[in-house]
Amino acid sequence: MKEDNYIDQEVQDMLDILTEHGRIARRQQQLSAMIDRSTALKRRRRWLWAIAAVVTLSVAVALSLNSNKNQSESMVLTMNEPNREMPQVADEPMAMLPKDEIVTREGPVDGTQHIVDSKYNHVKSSAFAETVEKEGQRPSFDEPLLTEPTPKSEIIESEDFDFAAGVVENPSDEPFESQGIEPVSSEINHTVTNKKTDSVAPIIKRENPYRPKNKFTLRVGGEIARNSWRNFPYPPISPHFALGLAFDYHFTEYFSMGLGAEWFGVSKYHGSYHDYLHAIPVYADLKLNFWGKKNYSPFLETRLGYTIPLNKATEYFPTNGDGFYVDYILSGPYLSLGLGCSMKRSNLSAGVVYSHVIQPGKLKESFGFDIENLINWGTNFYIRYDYTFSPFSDEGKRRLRQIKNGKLNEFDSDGFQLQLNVAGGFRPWCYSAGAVLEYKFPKRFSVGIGGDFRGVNFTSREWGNGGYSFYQNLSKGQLLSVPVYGDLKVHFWENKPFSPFVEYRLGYAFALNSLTATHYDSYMYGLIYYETRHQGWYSYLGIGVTYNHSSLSLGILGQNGHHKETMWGNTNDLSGGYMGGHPFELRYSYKIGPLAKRHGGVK
Amino acid sequence: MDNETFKKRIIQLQPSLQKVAESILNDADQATDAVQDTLLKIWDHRRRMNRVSNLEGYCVTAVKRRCIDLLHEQHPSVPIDEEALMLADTVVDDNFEERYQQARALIDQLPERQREIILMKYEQEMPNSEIEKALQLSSTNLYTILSRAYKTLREAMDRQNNNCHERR
Repeated sequence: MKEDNYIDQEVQDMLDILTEHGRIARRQQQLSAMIDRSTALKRRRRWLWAIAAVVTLSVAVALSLNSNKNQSESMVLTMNEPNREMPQVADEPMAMLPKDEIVTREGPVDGTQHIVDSKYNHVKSSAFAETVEKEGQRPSFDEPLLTEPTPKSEIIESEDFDFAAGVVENPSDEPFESQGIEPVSSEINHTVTNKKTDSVAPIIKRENPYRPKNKFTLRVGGEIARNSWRNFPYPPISPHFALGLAFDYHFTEYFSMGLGAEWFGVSKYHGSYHDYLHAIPVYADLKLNFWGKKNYSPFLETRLGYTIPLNKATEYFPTNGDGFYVDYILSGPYLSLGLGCSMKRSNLSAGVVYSHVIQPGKLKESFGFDIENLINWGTNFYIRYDYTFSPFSDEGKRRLRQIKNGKLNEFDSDGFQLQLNVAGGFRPWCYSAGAVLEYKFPKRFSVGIGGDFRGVNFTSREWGNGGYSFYQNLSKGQLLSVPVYGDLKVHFWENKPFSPFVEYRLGYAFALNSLTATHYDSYMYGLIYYETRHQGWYSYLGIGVTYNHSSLSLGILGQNGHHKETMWGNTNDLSGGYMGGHPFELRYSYKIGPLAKRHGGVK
Repeated sequence: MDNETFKKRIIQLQPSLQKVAESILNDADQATDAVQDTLLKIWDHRRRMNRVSNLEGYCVTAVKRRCIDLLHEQHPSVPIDEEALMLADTVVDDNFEERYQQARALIDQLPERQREIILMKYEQEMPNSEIEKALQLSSTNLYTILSRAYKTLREAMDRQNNNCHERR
């Protein structure tokens, strides 16, 4: 193609005017076209509205004609069959209602006459009763009228009627979510009540999803409490905390029983440092709801069980040149009684829990003297919160169906998932890396097992009874261990890529190395040999957020150590009391999975 | 106000409104959008337009306001002097239509083939390749015709200028 000719400037200006005019004309054409299209659309819409109005009117007229036909048939049935067995209401004579207010359905049900206003669907006279279909569809006129009383029908007199008897399964003003409705039975169970309703829809029997009858639920929660150990000869134990879960069976909406366990921790203050006592109370619980059928209900709860100690706290008591050690463990019967309120799935309660600390009284030092075992009962006033999961209820099954239909995104699918995590902490400095194989349940929680490689920057400050300064600065190094733990995670939101969560881990750490040091104790006139390993109970409690595959959490960690002091041939095994501080850990996790997409839905 | 009235009275203002918008926004595409938004909004409220005595002034004000809105949406670091923008005189080329008519008169003097090609190339902004395809011409032919057209236009303009001088 040849290049354009040289154009004189004056000619070019003139041609530019032509170009500008062409652009303006085209733009104006576009605008005109838009205006025309808008007008045409409105005109078309007007036509559509007109057609829709005509169709609606036709349908309404057809329905109206059909309704009139049924009404006239009904009137014929009522008025022209005097020989038909129509039991009369005992106290009041049969009322004649105007033709246009009678009757969507009539006929004897268990010997009771019931007439329902076709306009408002409630009873015009108190002497008449309303038909409520408990299950199934509303009866049609094609169904044969009942002439014989059936065993499934029941008549409830107006004065004696007990609404809590279960005729209307959900009398609460706030209806349950209708998504959990199971496919209704085709069997119609008529119940005649005097309860008025403005609802046209059939009332369908449903279970309370928060307290499902004859179903299991899982409660996960925690508590804080203020301790007041009596007869405790030494500084008191500070407030305790507990995290646990209970597996309950709901015999009725009012009553449930179950088994549970919780991790129970208290801090014992020795005057200059804290020791932590851990235990697992295993208990049977019993819960009584005052209002079984409502979403909100006060309840009474009691627990009875036994506390299994996890560790011991050792305290050294110097005497005149000598000293002795006393071990404390948290063990014995466990009893709790509380009053609370259920708010849908949440349960908040307060009460009193009895537990106790035992002093085994073992003499740990050869110079000392025996002391008697002391059992110290403690009365702890607690505030407890727990959350109820009901994976086996109708709602839980509905969720399972959703998963089967692939309505959950891949980040929230149930099944096994592998979670890789790295963490760093401080006080003291520590690090870890590991993996958790977890199983995500359809509800908001997951459980798993995992293992980490963990290192702690250990200073001898944490050695033994850390209040004694002469233990310090003897040895420093890395204490390596492999904690193996169970993992429980509860998500606040479900079916969303972004969700806050609470995570708890409990396990046991195996030491990979040990640190040793020697020290001449001028106080005890002897050479003390120390050996420390990071082996013992491991626990972690954290909160975080998850976003798609990633999650970030911050928590507090506890890991017991194994500490030995040897002097004059005697070895003091101080296993238990935590020797690594309680570092705060920031953890990043990346989730791979679900490993096996059982339901495979990605949406 | 019906469609035709709207087209006659409002859409004809589009060139001047475009100039107004461009003077505020300094962006031809944004200005086009602003004018289109404004005209469509006016179309939606066309029933009220009967009460407006100065339609052009109304439309210019509406376009200015829309442009100021667009400026605000860009979150400028410098504050916008709305008052100055609203009061600024709009430079509208009132002679454009007259100059177009003059140019069109010159174009109309061209032979039919040349006129057709000039209009396609400049008024319709068709590329050369499309013109060649549409008129079944080779590129050399097109080049030659355009050269002749430019030359004819130059001569016509010269004649026009000479006539003007002689009249004076």
